[in-house]
Amino acid sequence: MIFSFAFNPTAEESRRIAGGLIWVAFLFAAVVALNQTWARELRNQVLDAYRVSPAPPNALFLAKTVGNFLFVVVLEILMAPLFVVFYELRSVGPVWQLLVVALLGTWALVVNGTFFAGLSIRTRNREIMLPLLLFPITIPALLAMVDATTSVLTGEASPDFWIKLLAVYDIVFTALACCSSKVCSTRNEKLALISVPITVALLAYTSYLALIVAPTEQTMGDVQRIFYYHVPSGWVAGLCFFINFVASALYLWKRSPASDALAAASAEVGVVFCAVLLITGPLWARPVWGIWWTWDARLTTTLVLWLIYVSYLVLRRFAAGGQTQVLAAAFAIFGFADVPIVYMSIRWFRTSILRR
Amino acid sequence: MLHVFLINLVAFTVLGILFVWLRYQLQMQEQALESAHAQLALKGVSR
Repeated sequence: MIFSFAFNPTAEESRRIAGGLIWVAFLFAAVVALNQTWARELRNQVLDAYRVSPAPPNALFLAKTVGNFLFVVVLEILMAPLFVVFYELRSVGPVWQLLVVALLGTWALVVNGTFFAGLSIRTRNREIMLPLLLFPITIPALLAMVDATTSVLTGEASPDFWIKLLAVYDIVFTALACCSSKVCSTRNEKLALISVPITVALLAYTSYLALIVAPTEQTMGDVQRIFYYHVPSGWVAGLCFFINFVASALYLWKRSPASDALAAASAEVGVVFCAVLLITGPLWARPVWGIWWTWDARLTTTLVLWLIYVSYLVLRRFAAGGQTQVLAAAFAIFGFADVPIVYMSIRWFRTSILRR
Repeated sequence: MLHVFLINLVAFTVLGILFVWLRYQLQMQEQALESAHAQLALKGVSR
């Protein structure tokens, strides 16, 4: 409102700047609401009572996020008419796209805001800490929201790319926040407070590099960008399985519970990254090779590798008796034998389509 | 293109290590809890 009175922009100027103004206003309104999100539970140790309840921490986190999302959506519904009146906004593009951008953008703000509000709840000056953590992480989403909103309002460009980027951002950050919210106490909290934002910022930056900065490959086109996710996923899966191998060998030698915990953790993460590898591969192969899947040596051995470690996790979960850890460790050592076969399959087997 | 690929590789490695670390901490907490329950059950039996 102040901006409208100070500059009195024309309808055309309003359409160009409204995207930025709307989202900055929503961001500040959301931060005020999010700062209080966990504060109520601090009184009378309600938060501690939640933590000792059988409900998983990420369920509590998701419930809080959905509550905040509804609250911020109501705020936006109340604020939006003010922008329409004071800036004489008329959408040139389809209005339903504005709704999609609003919902995806609000979720991006709220999911990160709820997570960082939870992390900073016990810090001194948490009102200052939340914007300091939230704003840098939100910048990619904020750029997408502003550009998508401006594209719809002016009708000059398609907002499809920005909407897709927002959707990917929401999925990635919701998954990260849900996984990270499982560890929500003890001395690890400080380390998580530092390492999670750094990792998230690094991922946001590399996504920007891979999707926007990197030039389009001449033969394959944009689909080649999937390699920026496909190959690193394979590398991380291999690394996790190597950690699992070392930890399993250590467990058989020393019988240390810490080695067993590390083996279980690394196998789970390895299976997730291997699944990403197996999903992104066909997504790339379909437009380039014309097929989703072929029983090529590299592909088959990778699928076998994934199945081996899924079996390992099933064994850990469902095997009865006191020897489960020993059995799992022995199984992991034999299972790791497939990793060098996957790596060398292009050289060893002439069937490999990748070799050609 | 190569530097983008390498930066992505580093970012994914950091993400993977972070996930393993978080999951490892959770696993250790579960083990500690199970051990505490077992100790309590043993005390109950001895009484």
